[in-house]
Amino acid sequence: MIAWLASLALAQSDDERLADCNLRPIAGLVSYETAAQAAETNAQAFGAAAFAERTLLRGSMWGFEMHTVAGAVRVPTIAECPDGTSYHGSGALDLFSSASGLMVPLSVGEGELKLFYAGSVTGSKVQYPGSNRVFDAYGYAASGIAWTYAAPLATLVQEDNGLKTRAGDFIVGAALDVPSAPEVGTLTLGYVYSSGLYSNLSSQKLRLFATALLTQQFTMLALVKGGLDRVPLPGGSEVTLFGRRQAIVPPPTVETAPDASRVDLTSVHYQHDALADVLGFRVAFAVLPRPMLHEVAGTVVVPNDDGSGDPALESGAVAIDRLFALELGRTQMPALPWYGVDGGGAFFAELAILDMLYVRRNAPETLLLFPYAQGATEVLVRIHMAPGSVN
Amino acid sequence: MVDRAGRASVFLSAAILSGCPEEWQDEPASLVCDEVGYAIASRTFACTGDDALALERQGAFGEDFKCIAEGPPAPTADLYHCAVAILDLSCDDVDALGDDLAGWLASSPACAYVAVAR
Repeated sequence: MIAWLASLALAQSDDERLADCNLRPIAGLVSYETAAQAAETNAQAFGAAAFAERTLLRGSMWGFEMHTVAGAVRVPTIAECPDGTSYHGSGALDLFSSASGLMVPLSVGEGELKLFYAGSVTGSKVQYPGSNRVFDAYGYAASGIAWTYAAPLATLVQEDNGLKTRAGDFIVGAALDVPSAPEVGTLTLGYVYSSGLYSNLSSQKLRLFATALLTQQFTMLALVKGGLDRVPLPGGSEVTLFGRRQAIVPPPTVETAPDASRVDLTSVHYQHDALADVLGFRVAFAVLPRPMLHEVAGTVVVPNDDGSGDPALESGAVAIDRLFALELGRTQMPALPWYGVDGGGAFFAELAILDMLYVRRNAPETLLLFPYAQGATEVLVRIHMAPGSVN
Repeated sequence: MVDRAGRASVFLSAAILSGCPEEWQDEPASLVCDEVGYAIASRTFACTGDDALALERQGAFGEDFKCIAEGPPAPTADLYHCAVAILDLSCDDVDALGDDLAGWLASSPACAYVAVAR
């Protein structure tokens, strides 16, 4: 609370000091190019196609997400004031996104055809004293709901003005599932407004998972991941063990040698959940580009105990497994100077409330997408509805 | 139990959000030099694909050159032209300059006001 009050006081003094000054972010620096790339990565990771993969293609009938990363990149800025003084500092690049969509299952012979669509708005803005930061980030939260009914209209929201961006996108497609032949998996075909044809083939047989996002539209998120997913152990606990190779692609520069510019962060992950129902831990080692302890964390969960909780949470309409969950740990990233990142460790925290509201700082998953976002604060609202709850 | 967890979650949310990065942050003048090091690493990596070489050149810049951008007065946008010009070097230039960091710093007249050899 004291820290919060202190930051408010500091922000107010900045408001007064810089009120009439001309604030100029310095274009052409590594930090500036990184900020521009952050906006693009945000559009890919939290746009309509990625949203559909996380929700509708995993069985949700309806889903809504709103996500913000406050201070993903600090952009060097000169403030030139009318009285001739100037100040040297940096502004905080905030990223925001909002998406929603719907899936309709149809029986086709022995199989099931799932028609789906989703719309999204993603954006970025460098925040300076006097800007309405809360409105900029959360103003789009409400708009996201509308994309359930009019996803293509999201594409009307477009702005590209330096580091101030807004991009609308939508996906429409169909997923064919044949329950009698699970080895075939689910074939998904669709159209994405921003990138064209979308295809995906996945199998969840034997709780093995393998994911590869290698299509052109996801080059920045190129990810290869495989292993065992939530294998139950005697005593009720679950183990997840997987390897992951995440491409970390520097911001585009004036000229890049062919195939030269990319670092693969290759890591091995072990996660043990539901120990005594409420505890868990995870540890990850990075093998490349340099061996190091990548992350270590512990989790405490307050499960949603059916039969004793709030009846509103037991309806089954919205899947809530956890009332609260707190994860604390430490993550370490390699030095990535082409992002303006000197590397090193940072403590991270994630608080999940009702499996819907997540407040995070330095979450390892976020730092994989935005390696430069150390110290950024993240808020995610995620609501999914299971089949049978949407009329 | 649920009430206590609820109260705890409100407190913890506020604690995490209290660390929300400020809109404006005064920066030390040495940021101008940091950006030069990042630019050298960025161009080296983009043109060679050699992650280790990029880090090595950034480190050599920090060790072999002294940052003189430190004020007063506060740095101006002109000083940043050093880093901007380096980030604009072609891969032919990068290959030709190699480990000659003084040559890299000849990319812009502003570099003379940013760093000097130790």
